[in-house]
Amino acid sequence: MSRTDRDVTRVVESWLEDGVTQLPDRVLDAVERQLPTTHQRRLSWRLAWVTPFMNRTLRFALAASVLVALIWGISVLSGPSVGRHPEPTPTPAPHPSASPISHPGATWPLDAGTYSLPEFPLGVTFTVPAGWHSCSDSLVEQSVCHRPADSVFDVRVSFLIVENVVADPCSPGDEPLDPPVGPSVDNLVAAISSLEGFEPSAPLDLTVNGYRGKRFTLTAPSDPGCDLKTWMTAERANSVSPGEVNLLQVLDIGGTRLVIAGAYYPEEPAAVDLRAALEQIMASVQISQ
Amino acid sequence: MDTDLVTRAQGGDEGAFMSLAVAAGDRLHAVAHRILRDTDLAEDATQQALLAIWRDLPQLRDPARFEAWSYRLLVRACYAEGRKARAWSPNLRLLPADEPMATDATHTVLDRDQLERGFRRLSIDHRAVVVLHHYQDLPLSEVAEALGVPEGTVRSRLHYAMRGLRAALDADARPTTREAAQ
Repeated sequence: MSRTDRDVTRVVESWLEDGVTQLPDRVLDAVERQLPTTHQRRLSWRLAWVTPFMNRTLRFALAASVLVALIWGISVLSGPSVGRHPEPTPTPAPHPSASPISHPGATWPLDAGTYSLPEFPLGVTFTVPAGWHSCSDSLVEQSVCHRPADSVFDVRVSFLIVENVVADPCSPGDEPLDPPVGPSVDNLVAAISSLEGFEPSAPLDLTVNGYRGKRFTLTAPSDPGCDLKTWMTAERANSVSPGEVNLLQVLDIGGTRLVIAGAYYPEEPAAVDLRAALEQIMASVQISQ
Repeated sequence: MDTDLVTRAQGGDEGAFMSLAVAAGDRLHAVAHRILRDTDLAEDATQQALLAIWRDLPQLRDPARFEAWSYRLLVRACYAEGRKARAWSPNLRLLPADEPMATDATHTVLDRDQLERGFRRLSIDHRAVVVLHHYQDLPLSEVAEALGVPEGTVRSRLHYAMRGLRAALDADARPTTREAAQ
C-alpha cells in the first residue's frame, strides 16, 4: 500500500491528538513551592555565571586569580620588588565600556557597539556592527546573529563551551563520540575535522590575548541526505544546514576550551560581505578568564 | 497571553507568574508529553521549564513573545529529561493473531505502534519541530523563532522527521512473509 504525503501527515496529526492535555495540579503546586527559592536573573546581576554553571576548573581558576590579585596587592603595598622576572602570561583585555548581553533564550536587536556576555563561563567581549541581534541558545552557547535581506538564514557568531562531537553527523539520535574527545585544543580540532562528510581546512595557529589555539574552516556537505549535527555542548548537539561554512577558532582558556564559530552560507548573494562581517566580529574578540 | 501578567511576573510578582503558569501549563505539558512520549518525564520537563521561565523572565525583552520564548525553554527542558531516558523500554501491545491484517482497526493500531517506534528514533530536535508544527499548528517561521534556528533548518528537520515517520508506516504496510508467499 502506498501512502501520499497527505496520508502520512493526516495519520501523524491524528496520532499526535492522543495524549494528555492537562497539567496535574501537583506540578503547579511544586512550581509554586519553589518560586521563593528560585531567584530571577536580571540584567544587572553580573555575577550570575559564577555558580552554578562554573565547573571545577573554572572555580579553581577564579580562586587562583583572587590569590594572585591578593599577592599582587600585598607586593604593591609593600614597595617595589627587585630581580623578579615573571613568566609571560596571557593578557586578558576586557573592554571597559562593553554592554552586557543577557540572556540565553531571548532575542532582541543590538545597537552597533561592544558587548560582553556576563553569564558565559568565560570573559568575552566583542564588537558588532548595526543590524545584528542577540540569539543565544543557552549559557554555554551564546550567539549574535544577522539576517541578510531576502534570506531565510541567519549568519551568526557563537561562543561555545564544547565538550564533545557527535559520533555520526547523520544520526538523528545525537549519540556522542565514545570515548569522548580528549581535553586539548588539538584533540577537539582533530575530532571536528574528522566529522564524516565535512571538509576541513588545515588548522593554523592562533593567539588571542595571549591564549593559544587553532583556527580553521569547516564546510558542511551540500547534499548530505540527512539533518547534520557536529559538536556538542552540555546542552545539545549543534545542527548545521547543508553547505553551511563555519569559521572556527578553538582556544585554551586556562584549561577550558572556548570555541568561536562564525557560520554563513556561501550560496547567499552577499556571502563575501557576510564572511567579512563575521571575520571582523571574530577579530574584535577580547578574552579574559 | 496577557502581556500585563508577563510584565508583572518579570517584576517578581509570584502571583502573576502563577496565573501565567496556570494559563500556559496545559499547553506546555501537552507539547512536552508529545515530544517525550512519557507522562512522568513530561511532568518533570514542564516543571523545570516553568521554573526556568520564572528565573529568566526578566531577560525577555518583548512580553508579546512570551509564548514562542516559553517553547524554547520547554524544549531545552525536554532535552534534559530526554537524556535521563536514553534507553527505550519496549512497549508491548497484544495484536489479534488470527484476524485478517487488513481491518481498519488493526491498521490503526499498527500505524500507531509504528509511529510510536519511528518517533522515538527521532532526536528531540526533530520531535519538537513535528509537534510544534503538526500539533500546535505553528507556521514554520514561528517554529524557527521558538527554537532559535533558521527557518531553513526547521524545514530540513521537518522533512527528515516526516520521512522517518513515513518509513515507519511503510514498514507496517509491507506484506508479511505469509502474505507474500500466497
